[in-house]
Amino acid sequence: MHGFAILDWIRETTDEALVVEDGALYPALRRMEARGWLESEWGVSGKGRRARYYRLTPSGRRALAEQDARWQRYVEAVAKLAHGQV
Amino acid sequence: MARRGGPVRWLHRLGLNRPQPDEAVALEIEHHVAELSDRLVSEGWQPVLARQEAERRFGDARRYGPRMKRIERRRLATEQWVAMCNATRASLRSVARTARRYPGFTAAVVVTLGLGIGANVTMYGILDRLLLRPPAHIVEPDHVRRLMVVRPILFTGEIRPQSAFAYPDYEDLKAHSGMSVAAYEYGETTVVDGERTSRARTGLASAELFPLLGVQPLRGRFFTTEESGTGHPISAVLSEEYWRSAFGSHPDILSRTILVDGHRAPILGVAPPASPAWTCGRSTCGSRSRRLGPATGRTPVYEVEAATGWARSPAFGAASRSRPRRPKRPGST
Repeated sequence: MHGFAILDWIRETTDEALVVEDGALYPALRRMEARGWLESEWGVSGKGRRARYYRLTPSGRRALAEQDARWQRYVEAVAKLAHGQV
Repeated sequence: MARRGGPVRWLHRLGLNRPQPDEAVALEIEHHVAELSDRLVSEGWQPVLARQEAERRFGDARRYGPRMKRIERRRLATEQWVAMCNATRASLRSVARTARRYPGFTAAVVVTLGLGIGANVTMYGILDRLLLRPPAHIVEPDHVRRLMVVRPILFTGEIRPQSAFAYPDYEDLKAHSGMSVAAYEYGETTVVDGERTSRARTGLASAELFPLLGVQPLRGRFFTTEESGTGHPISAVLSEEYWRSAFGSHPDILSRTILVDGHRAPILGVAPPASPAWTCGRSTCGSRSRRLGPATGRTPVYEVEAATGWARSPAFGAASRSRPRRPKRPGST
């Protein structure tokens, strides 16, 4: 997916709960690629414009799984705290 | 967003059409803004306003752009470095494999390289000793010159710089030129030391020669000015090589006398190894000469660069040292 499509996808999937300033996405994408979590490829979009397409790498998938696990633990901890308050 | 296939995409896959980092950042930003602008237009915005809104929503490109460029450039540099390391490692591995499989061939290659490199190094070493490096023990060799006289050659009448001086010319030079000069001459004569008679390379030197060169005696001393004057009996300074070969570096050398060409010459001292008088070098007529002006009023004298060696010449030669910029040290005239 290229950057614009990624933003669209985030917006749709979270039902607009997560709003990222458009421009902020791109440096993040660059950093992720520098870390080896993404790989990019230049191509031509359906409308005939040159665009950069991103893809998750195996190490990226691992990092995602790790972040996900950490996030889950965090969410559970907070939930316990919140619901513990009677 | 579907990707267009076909030949253009194939070019991209090959990485041929890849834009440079800075260009890439600009293109990506542009793509985003253009897509957003299109969408706004499809929602009913005016094109110009749509574009403006798209740019506004993107955020401050001036902030994001440079950041992206920096990260991208660093990433590319690392990528190239890694690629080079991998390529080198792969090459080395393949070389090692070949070497193991064909040891004979590898040995042949190593021997050839060794011979070639060794031969070149040796040749360079020889050239360096003979031509390039100034003889050891001379102080500031670039200031030492061999003097030449420009005058007609005896038989052909051709006018050329020559290194043969008459002694009176040398004395004139010494008196009038304001440089330190020394006279020398070389040849082969019969030397008798104890019972042994042999022909050896000998030379005559005026007392100024060794101090001019800045050479220090290994043993004993060099000539004094009185010893160099007319009428005084000759005395000898041995080269280190001669001292070693004829006398076995005997420490008691200074009490001996040798016969040079039939004349008794007490040994005054020993010169350090590879002193210039005993090595051969190149003659340097004509390169980089500077006219000194008529020292004797008769023939102009030229100063010629010659500090890298001494030509073995039977003519009476003169050497000079130009005035050093630093204050004179004792021993140099």
